[in-house]
Amino acid sequence: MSFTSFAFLIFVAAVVIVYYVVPKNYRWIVLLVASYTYYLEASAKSFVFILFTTIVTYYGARYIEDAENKHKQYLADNKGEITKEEKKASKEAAAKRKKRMLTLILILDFGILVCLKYFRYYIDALGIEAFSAITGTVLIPLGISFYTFQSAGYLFDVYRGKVGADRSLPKFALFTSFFPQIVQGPILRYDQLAGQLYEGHDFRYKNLAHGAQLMLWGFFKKLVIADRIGTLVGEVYINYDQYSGWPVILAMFGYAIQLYMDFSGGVDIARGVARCMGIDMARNFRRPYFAIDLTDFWRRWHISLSFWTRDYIFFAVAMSRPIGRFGKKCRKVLGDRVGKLIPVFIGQILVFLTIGMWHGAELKYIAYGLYNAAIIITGMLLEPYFVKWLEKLHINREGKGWTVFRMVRTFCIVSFGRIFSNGQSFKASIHMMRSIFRPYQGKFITAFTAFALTKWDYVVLFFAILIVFFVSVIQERRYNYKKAHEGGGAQIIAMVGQGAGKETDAEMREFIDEKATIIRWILYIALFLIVLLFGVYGPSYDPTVFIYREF
Amino acid sequence: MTGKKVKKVKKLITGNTIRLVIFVLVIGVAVGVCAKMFTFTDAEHSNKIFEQFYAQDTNTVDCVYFGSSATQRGWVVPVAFHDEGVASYSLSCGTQPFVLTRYLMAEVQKTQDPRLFIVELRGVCKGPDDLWDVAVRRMLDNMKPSKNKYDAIQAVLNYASQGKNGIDESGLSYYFPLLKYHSLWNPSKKPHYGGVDYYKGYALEPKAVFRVTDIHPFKYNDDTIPLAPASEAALKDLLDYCDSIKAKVLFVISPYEASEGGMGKLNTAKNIVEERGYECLNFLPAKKREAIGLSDDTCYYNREHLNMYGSIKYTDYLSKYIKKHYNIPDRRNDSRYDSWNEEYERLTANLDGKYADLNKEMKEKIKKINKKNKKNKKK
Repeated sequence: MSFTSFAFLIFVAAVVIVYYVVPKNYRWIVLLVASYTYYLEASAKSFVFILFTTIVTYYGARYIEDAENKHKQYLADNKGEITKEEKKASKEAAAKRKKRMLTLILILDFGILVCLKYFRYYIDALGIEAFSAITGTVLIPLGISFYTFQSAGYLFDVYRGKVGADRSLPKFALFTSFFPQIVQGPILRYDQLAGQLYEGHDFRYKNLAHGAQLMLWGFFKKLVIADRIGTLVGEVYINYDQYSGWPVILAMFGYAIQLYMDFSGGVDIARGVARCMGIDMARNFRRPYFAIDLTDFWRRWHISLSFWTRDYIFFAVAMSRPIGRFGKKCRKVLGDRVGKLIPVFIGQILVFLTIGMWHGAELKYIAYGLYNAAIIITGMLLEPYFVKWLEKLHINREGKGWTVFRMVRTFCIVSFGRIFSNGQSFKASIHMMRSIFRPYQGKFITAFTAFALTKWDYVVLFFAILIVFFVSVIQERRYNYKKAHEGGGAQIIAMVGQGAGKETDAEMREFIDEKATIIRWILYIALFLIVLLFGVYGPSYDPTVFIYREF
Repeated sequence: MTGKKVKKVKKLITGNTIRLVIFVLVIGVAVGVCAKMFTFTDAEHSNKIFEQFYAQDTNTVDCVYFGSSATQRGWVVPVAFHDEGVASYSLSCGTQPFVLTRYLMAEVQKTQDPRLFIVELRGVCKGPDDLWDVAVRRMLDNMKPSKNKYDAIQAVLNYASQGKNGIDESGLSYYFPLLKYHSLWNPSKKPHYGGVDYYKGYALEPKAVFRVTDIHPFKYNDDTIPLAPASEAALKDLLDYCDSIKAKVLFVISPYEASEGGMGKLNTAKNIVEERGYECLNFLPAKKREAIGLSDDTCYYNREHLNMYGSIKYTDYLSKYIKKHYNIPDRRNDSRYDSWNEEYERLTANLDGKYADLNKEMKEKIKKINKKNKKNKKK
């Protein structure tokens, strides 16, 4: 039941109706039943894995909290009767128990992920037939990366005392399986989502309207743009050895656009569905192609994953004692500036390796992660020299022209790197990268007509991308205005910093809400008709293909 | 809640409900307009067959002929009327799915009260694996929405082999054809119209019907080959339906170069039909064809289809036959049937006008062949 299938729309309509019909206290049960129904329909054979992760994480978190509580209780019960050493011993014992449990649960949760998603790849790659026979029969569970990361995030938060352990297994099961986000995320924090899921929301017309608008916008991005451009991208990436020059460049930029429209479109649909039931899911994108450098890009792209890796990997690594000590040693050898950056570099490499491998086990994904890390690290190392050069060249670093140049440059860097993630293999990706610089045997215009897209498809693509561009400009301006004038920026950044990406002040719907009813209706109906007529769907369309569904 | 608050909530709910209903209505109208604009279209403009059928005056059609392209091109409706006064309609299309015949009969009876249905049997040779999406759509997508159309879709989905020939297994795009045709906004996706003229279902395809091809049919024998189980079930289902209706039903195996396998299957079908008490005219035996003046070297434009010359002979024979044996009235002097006369005039005008050269060329070619045949006979 893909998001773009008719069955899904019927399913959502039924869930929304039942959600508001049942008494408030039981609405979370409706969501749980709906989520499990959705999961069973999509991936019944692998249902046991999500169930296992849910149960293990739930009891693990309870154990961690209990260990902390016992320690606190011991201190409270023996206040003034125990020595400092005894207090310390109790604390250490609790910390040890917590850590042990955390490690065990993480091994179990990520163990499944590794076994099903990565281990099988290497077994297949190495041709170990005895194992291949076993792994070949097990399907990769739907949304395994998303729910594993979300569960792990919750476990870390309980471990750090940021949130309390959930006291209801069924409710926690809803947190790990909430159907709109199970396929493509976003990976949400427990404190952002759980409360909203468990609380029964009152019916509000605005929620329904805003949810429907978000879904429509998602369908527009997915069906009109992503699936149309996918024809071109697919052809070049599959038959990569037959193309060089312009077609490869087209496919490279095309994929960057396709991926954004596909992924963000899917997340918009997910957010829209949740919104219909009064549940606010954080944004996962903040106009990533307006990023001025790669670091900025990763603050805007797949925000929930970026901040997950930052909070649970980068900080954990870069601020750990051994890495700190190593950094100090490096300062002596490499100098103060570079030495200081070494812990950051190690953190970055691990973060981007995780991001790369989050997509899959193949070498191309590792290369994709390292490519990003290498560019960010190089940028940091060379930054002082860049500043000097710019001064020498009298380039105004605050000027609009320079900002636009940086945006275009970042877009090119990102698009080029994505050849790794979408290439057939690491070798194929390298081949494609080389092909870009080989001349195209034909006229420039024939590079466009070499695919199954007609000239009218290009016209539709052009205008559809233009619409998304203008909407993004409006959003970015509103965001920057709020940041500059209302002091909302700090708040927004703080929220984003929590991984929330909760950029409520730049929501397009508020901009539209300010308009007269007739204008709003014209906009909605126009968008609906655009999706209806210009969307790529129908009997020959495979609705199961959402790029991030595969991850 | 105070009375004031309750009033406020009620007002809010009513206001929003009205707004929602109006919005849904507007969307509904917009979708309806799009559905009208983007409908089935093929190079043969098969949609015209149904459009023209629905436009017929109520209870004017005495005979409806169902079948595939052989029927479309073999039964010349205006000639049947002009020569014998048979008011007929050819509700046929290229590779018409046999399984749909009973639903087409039901569709006809909504607006017409025909005395006779003629059913071409060739379609029964095609099993579930030969059912093509486009053939299904030629009929289904042009039928008006109704319970009968719903049943017809169900019948197709039950009959078709899974995952073959583009059949939409979910059936959604048969219920909502816009799902299939929404991309027709793109001019490059519209098929190039092949210039087929329709005369109450008779399809005059100038590029085809004026050609002359020599065919070599197998020598007829009455050996039988079993039908595909689903095809046999469809035939029996049709016969059950025929038992339940007022109109008479005549089955026909029209003349063509049948393969040995096809001939065997048609013999089986013929036996089943006759066992149930229905007549089946079989034109596969050479004697039968010769009796009505059809020659293998002048009357066909390819192995499966009669050309203009052959189809007039065939129509002439069959119209006389049904008039005599099925009591079809002569409507030539009834002003309610003027539209058939108009179609005949349009056909002759076209044959003498825009198709005059093709027609002449065909006739000359036939003359030459006949001359040659005569010479050969003398030798």
